[in-house]
Amino acid sequence: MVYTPHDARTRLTALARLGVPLVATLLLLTPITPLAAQGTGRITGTVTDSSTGRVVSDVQVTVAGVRVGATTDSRGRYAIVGVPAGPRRLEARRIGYVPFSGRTVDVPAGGAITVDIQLREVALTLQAVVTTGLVDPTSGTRVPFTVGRLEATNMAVPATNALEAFQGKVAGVTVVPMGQPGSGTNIQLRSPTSINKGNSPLVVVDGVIQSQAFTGSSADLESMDIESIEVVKGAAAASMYGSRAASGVIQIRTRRGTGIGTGTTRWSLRSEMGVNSLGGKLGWARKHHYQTNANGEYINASGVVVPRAQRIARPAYQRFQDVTYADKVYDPVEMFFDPGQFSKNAISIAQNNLRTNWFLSFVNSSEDGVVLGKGRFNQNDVRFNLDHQPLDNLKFSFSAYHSRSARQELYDDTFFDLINQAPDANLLTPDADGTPYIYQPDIEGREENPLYVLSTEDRQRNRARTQGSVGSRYTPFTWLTFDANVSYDRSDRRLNYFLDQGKKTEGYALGGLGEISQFAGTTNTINAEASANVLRKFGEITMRSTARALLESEKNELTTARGQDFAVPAVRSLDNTKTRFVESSVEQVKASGYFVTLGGDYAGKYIADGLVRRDGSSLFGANERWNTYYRVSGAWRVAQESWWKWGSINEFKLRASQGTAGGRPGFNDQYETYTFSTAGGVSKQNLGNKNLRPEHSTETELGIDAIVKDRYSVQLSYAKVKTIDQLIQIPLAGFFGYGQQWQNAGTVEGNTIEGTLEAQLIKRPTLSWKAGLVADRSRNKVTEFDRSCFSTQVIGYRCAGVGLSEMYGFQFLHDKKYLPADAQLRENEFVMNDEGLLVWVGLDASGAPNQYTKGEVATGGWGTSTTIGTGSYGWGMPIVRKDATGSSAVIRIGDGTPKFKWGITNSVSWRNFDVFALIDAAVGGQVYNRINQRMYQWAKSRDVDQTGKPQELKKPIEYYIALYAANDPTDYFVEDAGYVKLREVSLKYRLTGRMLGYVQPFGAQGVAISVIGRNLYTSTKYKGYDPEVGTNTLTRIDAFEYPRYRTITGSIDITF
Amino acid sequence: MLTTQKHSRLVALLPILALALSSCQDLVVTNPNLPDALRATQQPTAAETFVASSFRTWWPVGGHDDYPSWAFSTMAMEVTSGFADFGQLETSAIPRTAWNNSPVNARNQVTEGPWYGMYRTISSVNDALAAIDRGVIVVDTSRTMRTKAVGKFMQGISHGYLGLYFNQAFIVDERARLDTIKDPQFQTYKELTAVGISQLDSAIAIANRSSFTLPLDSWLYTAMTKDQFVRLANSFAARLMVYSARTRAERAAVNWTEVIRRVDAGVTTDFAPVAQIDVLWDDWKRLVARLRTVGRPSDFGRPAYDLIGPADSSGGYLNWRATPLTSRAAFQMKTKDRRIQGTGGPATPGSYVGYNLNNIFTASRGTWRYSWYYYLRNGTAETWQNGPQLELPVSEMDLLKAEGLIRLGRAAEAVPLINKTREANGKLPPVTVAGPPDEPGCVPRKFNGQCGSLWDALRYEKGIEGLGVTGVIAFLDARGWQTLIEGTPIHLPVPGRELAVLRRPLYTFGGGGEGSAPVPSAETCPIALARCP
Repeated sequence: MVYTPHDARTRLTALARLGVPLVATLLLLTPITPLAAQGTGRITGTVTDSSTGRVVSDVQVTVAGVRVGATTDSRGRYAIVGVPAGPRRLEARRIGYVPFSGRTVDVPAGGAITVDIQLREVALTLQAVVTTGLVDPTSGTRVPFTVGRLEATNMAVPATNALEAFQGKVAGVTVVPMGQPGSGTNIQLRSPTSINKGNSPLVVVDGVIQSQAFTGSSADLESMDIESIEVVKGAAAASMYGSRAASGVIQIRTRRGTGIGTGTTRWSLRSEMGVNSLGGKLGWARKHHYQTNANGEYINASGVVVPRAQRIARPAYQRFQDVTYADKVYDPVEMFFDPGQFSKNAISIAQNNLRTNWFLSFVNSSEDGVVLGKGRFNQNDVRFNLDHQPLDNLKFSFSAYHSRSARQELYDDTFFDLINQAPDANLLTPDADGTPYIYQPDIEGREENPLYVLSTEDRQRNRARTQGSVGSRYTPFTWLTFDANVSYDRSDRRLNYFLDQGKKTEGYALGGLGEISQFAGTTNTINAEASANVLRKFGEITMRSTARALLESEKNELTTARGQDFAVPAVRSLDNTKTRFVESSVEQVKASGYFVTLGGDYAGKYIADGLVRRDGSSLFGANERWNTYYRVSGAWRVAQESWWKWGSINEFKLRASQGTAGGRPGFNDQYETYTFSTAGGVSKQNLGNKNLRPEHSTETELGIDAIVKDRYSVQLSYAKVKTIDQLIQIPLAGFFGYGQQWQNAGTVEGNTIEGTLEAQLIKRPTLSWKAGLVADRSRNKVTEFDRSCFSTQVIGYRCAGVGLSEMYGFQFLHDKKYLPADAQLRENEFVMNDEGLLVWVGLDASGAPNQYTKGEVATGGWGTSTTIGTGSYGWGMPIVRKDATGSSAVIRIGDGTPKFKWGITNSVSWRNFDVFALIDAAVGGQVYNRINQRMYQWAKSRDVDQTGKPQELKKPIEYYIALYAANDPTDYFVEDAGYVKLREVSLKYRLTGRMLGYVQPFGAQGVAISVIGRNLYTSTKYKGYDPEVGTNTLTRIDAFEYPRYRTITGSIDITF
Repeated sequence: MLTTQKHSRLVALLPILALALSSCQDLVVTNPNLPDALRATQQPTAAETFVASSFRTWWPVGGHDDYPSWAFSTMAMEVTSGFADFGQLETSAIPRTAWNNSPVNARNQVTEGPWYGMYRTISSVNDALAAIDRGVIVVDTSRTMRTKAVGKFMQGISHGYLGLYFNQAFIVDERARLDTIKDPQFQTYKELTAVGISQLDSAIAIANRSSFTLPLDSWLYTAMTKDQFVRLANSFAARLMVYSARTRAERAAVNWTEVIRRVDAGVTTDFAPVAQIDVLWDDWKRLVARLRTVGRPSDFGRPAYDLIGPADSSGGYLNWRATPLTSRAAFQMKTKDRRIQGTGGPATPGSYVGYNLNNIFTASRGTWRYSWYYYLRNGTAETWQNGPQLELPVSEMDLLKAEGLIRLGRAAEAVPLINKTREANGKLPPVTVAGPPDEPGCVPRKFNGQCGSLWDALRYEKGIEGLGVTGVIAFLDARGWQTLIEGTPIHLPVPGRELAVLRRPLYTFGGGGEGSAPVPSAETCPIALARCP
């Protein structure tokens, strides 16, 4: 037998397959020593806040080692019964407070003892307990890598989507929210790791791993019931999640019944209502360039007054956009966008009994968005969380979530059609066919009125999401715990489209044939995991170890049926069509994984952690089914050393972590494929690749955590990530017939510097003020790419030495040195114009260079040209830079990555008022403004409007159309998209005294009213609607997406 | 209590045991949506499917989709366009520039579209022919022979068109073993043409030994007998022979006797595959004929004055030509050709071309691009995706034969061939060997305003009858007639992407460098004729 590396992999795999369950089973079968049967007593007491003296409700008080406990009620009281008599130590935990571990007290058999507890509020996020990336809850001060954390208190303004809650609050997080309500959110943690595949993190909600098999998976995530969110930003912390964690992990936990006092039931009502409205506007040209007489009336070439429909443009190069319309002028943006209603209503009930607690909530969200009469989104969510503890050492958890939503969809060209409307066209005029809006109000017929299309088309998206998880935790010994969890995630998506016969469309100006389509997509995902956890202490040494096995199965089914040409109008059935098509696909993903961790600390000062994970997936090529990941971490809590002199600095930790994680191929990537086309055609598509591996990230993170006087904290991190084996679709030589093959090729490297400052500035019974500052700077670059360079997403370019957010395109000349060699011989005929562009102006009669200000037709300029070599130069017209071959040179024209980002939060509580504000900013970073570029094509942009310009600086529309450059990417439309945004504001007033007394007879215990603003104000130089654009985090191109808008609401919260 | 504890242990044990058992799950998943090579070819009928669907991948790049049709038709000045889409703008710039063959050129589909489209066609056919060579029988001998004949036909027109479009390309037939090719060698366009014709002859030979028919709804999307198939193959062979010429000299050197033989053995009815929605359609015709708004037709591309201008008797075309390029503007023609102008006067539509006083292009891209004429021959709405789409008309073959006859000194025999469409469609008086009648309003005219020669009439007729049929023929004629604008690339280079994949140096044509068209001298007749030079 010949030994090969493949054999080694197989053996390791087999060992992993057998070993982990075997160890876990042996541990489980170890004889159990029952908890000592003895007499019991009772512990009662009150829990108060150490700084304010206020009672604290919802605190979990437990007896160490015996796992009996209770939760404090609204008066801060608790009572634990059945406590084994003898010396016992109390522990207390509550979100937002430092975990309490008390002194030992003697519990008398058959008697009672009172123990009052003072809890110290966690003033600083760094001190909070975190779990993501770890096998058991650990204080943030003891974690050897960065775990970002948000709690409900940081979310005074409920995000419209759960993932948007991070924006400006956690360092190293980039959020690209989609404009239209219900679209979901793109999120990137630190620097991107993948050239081609998604850079979105893995999201886990209550133990349910969210499927990423379909677009907008996060759109179904409701934000109202979130208790906490944790984020690990890269492989150094996320190795535990293996081959799909290269981009980090976000873990969301929702509320449970444990959050209220034992033996209590709590109802909560919340209602928020307000309006959506567009913030930024587009600048439009308000003047025209048609021939008119002295009265402003349109005339033809003979000077005869003609109606609007027969107007003609001035002669070429005399078309200065400076003539006032005789007719009324409209702002298409004003007509098209319209404030819409926003509402979010929630009701929840929670109950906490001794052994069982549960939480049930219902949330209804509705947003109209900002497009007139279309785009409404409505979502209903139900959540049910249940915990049951039948035995002291056995606990079951159950979580279920169901969401249903409906949205009116906009067609793809909606915002493109809008910018092509003429300013003297009234989009709100009814059409002769009975549609409320005219089909083509622009006599030049550039594009159809988007309001007509939206009125005649019916595009309805319906989604349902059902998720559930069942978990158990069994602790046969104080040092041994078994966990198991099974989660299920199902998504149902429908998209129905109907356009009736007779409605006008592009190509069917007299009325179309009718069209209908129905899409159905279903995704079912099941994940299961089981682990054995060991926690033992040996003197000053605490050791933790976990062995875990995981399984994953996902099935994605898609079916589309469509038909054209109706037999009769108004019948919404595929049977009504004369031509029909169907398409379908099924994708199945199976994966297994195993990992073992070993970690520990010595006296809480020296912390070490290690992990090895083995992942197998059907998405990997047949020869690369299994891959290995690891993590090694360490931390030194220097302030715990006896020699530490700086007592005011009560925490000072140095930490380092290195880990690996992966990025998976797509379903089709490994397969050799032929494609079917309608009516049975077959042709070659992809050449398969049995050696396809997942992308492999290695991240190294170094950092310092410090806390001063328990009031100020600082976290500084530097992370460097290198991702090899990039998944690239490599073109093949034509004769293969297959167009391309997915291969592992290339390396991306990135680094991030991030910092978090947090300060509890004031903490008094009637006034508290907490402030936070986060900032980060990320860079990335393709460092190795041994294949042909290629362009992507119009402005992207993938080549060694190029960043993933860099933009490439053509450049207009700003400097004579880039003129072609033949033109340089006549360089005195070129000058810079008032926009800084180099233009040809020729020589005047004396042989001296002309001036670009003498371009008026009367003086001879605009419209003339010269030929130098193979180049033609129009008078005053911009010039595209050429390369050595004479072709337009493709060069770097911009970079979408900001220089750095920052966010500032302030939370102030004064008496019964709570104020929260978030301001965040991106400094630098550019956006490609394709909207403005397109508005140059037909002279629609405000830039083309010559109003107010001195005559000598006016430019004809031909100048701007040349800048439009046939929609090719050019440097001219790269804009600084830096911004400062007042993103969240909340002012809350909690009713007290007589006002609260009015509602208390109805059972209300607390009432709060709030005024809330989202995206209230943006300061930016960017010319588009909003600088936060793009459909992903890498390609910052403003290409007719639904614009971001502001929301102003009022809300009322009532607790019973 | 102990019983409960046992249950507890069991509860905890169950998921772990379940995981342990399921950890043996097989991670092999078959792609259920798309076949791989094994599944695609394991059934004998699959070979038939490959060939029967291959015309659908040839059709778009054979002149019926955006690439390379728009670039070729605007370079040939058959269609004028101020739009930049599909490579129109950069390929029709004056002065002409070299084709930007960079793989990152945003218009790189001009070369990549036809290159990869043709090879995708060839590759699928090769798999089928290789299977037949291995002994696979497609149900019976007749169907096997049909598969083989059409397969060779598809190989022939694909290799042939690669030879028409590119200066060089690979020849890959069913005998090639792709996994053994280490250093593939390009073949010249002449070799490609020869191989293409040879493969068409193989198709003819196989068909002549067989008995089969082709159905309407697949294969070549035209119902035809075996004999009609043979005629079609001969017509395509005639095309390849004539259109592969890059220069006037090469066109003159074509074996015209053989061309005439092929034409005579070629189609007797128009080859017009029947379009079906989402199966086979003519997107180039769709855009040429696009109607966006009532009264404002054809906003994408329009018949160029260089094509229809010789029919003008108003003097407008002569004036337009005499005007400096940057000062040219659209004008209204007067003509007797009823394909351009209706009987109601200059503003009324003809049968192929309509008149509309509307400028759709921008001045900064050159007012010389303006045209007040629009294309209406093939309808305006859904007609491009339903019904017959003209690909190889008899008139084209007639005029190829007429050209051959003139070149062979048999001009009198060419006259009736030219007059067929001239009289029937143009309602023009017949030409004689001396050319059109020397009278006011003669069609066509020379650039000096005099009535044209028979040679001029032939070229005009081929242009107006070919307008909007395919997007590539006008260019192929223009380079052989030397009517392309100086500096126009006479053929395409191998796509930059392909060169990069093969690690070969990038090269290009046009702009006055290698592979550029010389200064046009359109009025030169091949032989002595009346009204020539």
